[in-house]
Amino acid sequence: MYILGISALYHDSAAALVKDGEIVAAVQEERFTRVKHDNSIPYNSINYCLETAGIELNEIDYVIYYENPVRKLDRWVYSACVLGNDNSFHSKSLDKRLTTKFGVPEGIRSVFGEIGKEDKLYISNHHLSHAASALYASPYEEAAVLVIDAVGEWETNTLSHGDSKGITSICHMEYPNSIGLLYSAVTAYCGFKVNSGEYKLMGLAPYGTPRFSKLIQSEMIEIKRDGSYFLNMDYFDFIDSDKLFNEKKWSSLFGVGARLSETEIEIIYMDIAASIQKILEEVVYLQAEKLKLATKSRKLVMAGGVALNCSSNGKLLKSELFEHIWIQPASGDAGTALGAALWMNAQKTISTSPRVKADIQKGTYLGPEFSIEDIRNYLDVMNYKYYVYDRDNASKVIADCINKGKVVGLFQGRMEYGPRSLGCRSIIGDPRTQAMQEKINLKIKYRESFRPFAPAVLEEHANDYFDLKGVTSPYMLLITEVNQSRLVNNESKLDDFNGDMISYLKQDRSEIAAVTHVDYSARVQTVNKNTNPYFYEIIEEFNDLSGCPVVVNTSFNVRGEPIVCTPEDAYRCFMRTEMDVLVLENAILYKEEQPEFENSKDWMDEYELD
Amino acid sequence: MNLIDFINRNKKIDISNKVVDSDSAYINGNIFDIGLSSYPESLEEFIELYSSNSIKIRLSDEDLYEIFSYLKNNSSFEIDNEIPNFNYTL
Repeated sequence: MYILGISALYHDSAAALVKDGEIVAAVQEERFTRVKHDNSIPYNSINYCLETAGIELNEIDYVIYYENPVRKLDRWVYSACVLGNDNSFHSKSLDKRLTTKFGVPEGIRSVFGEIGKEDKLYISNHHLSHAASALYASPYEEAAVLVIDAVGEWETNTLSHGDSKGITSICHMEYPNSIGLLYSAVTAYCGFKVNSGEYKLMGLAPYGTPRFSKLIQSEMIEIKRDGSYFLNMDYFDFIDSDKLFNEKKWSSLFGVGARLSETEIEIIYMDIAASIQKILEEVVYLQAEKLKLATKSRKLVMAGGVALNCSSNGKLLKSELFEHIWIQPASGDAGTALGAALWMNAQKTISTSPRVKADIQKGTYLGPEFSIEDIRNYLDVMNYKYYVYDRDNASKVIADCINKGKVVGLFQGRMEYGPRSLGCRSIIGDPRTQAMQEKINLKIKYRESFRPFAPAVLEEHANDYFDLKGVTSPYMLLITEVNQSRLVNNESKLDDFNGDMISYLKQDRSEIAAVTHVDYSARVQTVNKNTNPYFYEIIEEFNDLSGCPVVVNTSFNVRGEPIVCTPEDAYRCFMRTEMDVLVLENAILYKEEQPEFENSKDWMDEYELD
Repeated sequence: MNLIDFINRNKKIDISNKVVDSDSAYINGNIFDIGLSSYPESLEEFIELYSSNSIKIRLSDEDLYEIFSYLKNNSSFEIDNEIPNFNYTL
């Protein structure tokens, strides 16, 4: 039985194909169209899913859309009629939304022709899709399920329990009370882009002190002991406008106006970031605690945009509230395509067969891959110089390059589903000096960043370097401290923080300086030998050369660009930047040997800054 | 009646701008019971789904009629069927 899940028309469109409970393919549309967060009907993603399975459209048994546009319409109409104050905004906004959202079936049917008329087209519920993406892709048969995002149809937080019988929601919270929207509002206030800048706000928080957290709690959000909360809507404009916050009220509260994008970040914004991060972590903890009490489960699974907040996830892990935590790596809306398909599968199979209990997410390597033959054909046609090795030797050559301080673009295997690069579309390097952080930022990402890169560590060595409490972090979704034994300078030996984040970050704090944040934390990816053998071998070879089982791992793209999908995307990114080496499967290319690359002068304007 | 008039007429409850005095902001109940529905083929089905999937009764039959009349007259979404009578129970 083939089930196709689709998310589209909001942000991060995606498609996922499930066959008899196994994930065949899953991918975001942005990877094909090269438009970041592309929200269009995911034609390319659907085609990719079908090609991977080797089937035609008419062989699909069910198509399921990730959310219920009817209930979303309900929220919009209610917002306009009851909550809102600005009629002209709602009139314009509803007109636009009705013509796009109301047309969902038309859009889907334009892909599927008659399929929608054959009782094959179904709709799910936004938070149910998130919940299913967490429960059914996890290795657990039974778990407490926590979904937190900005908003689905009405729901903003959903606390559920899942087992072999299905997913039962225990309680939920509704719009406009949304911790996700509050976090996004602070993201915007601090000058970062909503839907992508939340990560930066999280990375900014360790520079600040949470001196505003009590003020925010007394004025903006009232947090109850059970983890529920009420927002004071005097401070928010998102019901009546495209703006999230009321600037006049916020300026008066914080004593500073909204930061303009790309301007210097003053210490007060770091303190605001630290404050909201503290509040988010408190809410997530309290909701998890309520779930624990309600379900008595030892396992927790999570999804929704807030589940990508690795710092909060790390605190939850440390609390030891649950013995096991699994977080869907595609926790944003792209992951709902998979969740909807898995939910449909559960509905159709639940009474007849037990579900697969393995980690069917397969390291989230669920996207397109290219054979060495395809790659060689491409390189030959383009007349690019390359060397092909068997894989053992390729790993040795790549490790040697890293050990010599080269920056390597690694393109191999199936592309990652979700926002993180996990060793198949990654830029990797030596983590032992801060110089690598600076080099990758300035010469490849073309930015100065106050955030360190993430470490990818051999799973067997992870607890030697990081305080992971014995768990693995295969999806780079946990932030935890670097072990004391790996630190080279404690705080007393460092220069005091004077507001210059880049200089402060540049001070060596650990043996793996390029991946250690100012609070001695790191966003860890543990690499498993069976899940990603090639990546594992490269790090293993690097460990043999250097004694360090860790590499820097960052996404293979320039700022604002979707992660590379094809060998052509990878080569273009390689040549546009000062990356030293490109690995396309086991073909290796060196920058200095490549023909002159013709680049448009304004290529940096091609992608909107994130 | 256009949508602006409709909104004006219905702007009768003000629950915004206030932090409510309550012990919990959670709403109980299994919202996932309604998690899977086939996509509506017609306006009648759409309205039926709208009503069956509303967790709370937020709008009256008459209000819904106004909304769908507005949709029919103003959106580019093509609706072939006539607006049905609202003789079902929300």
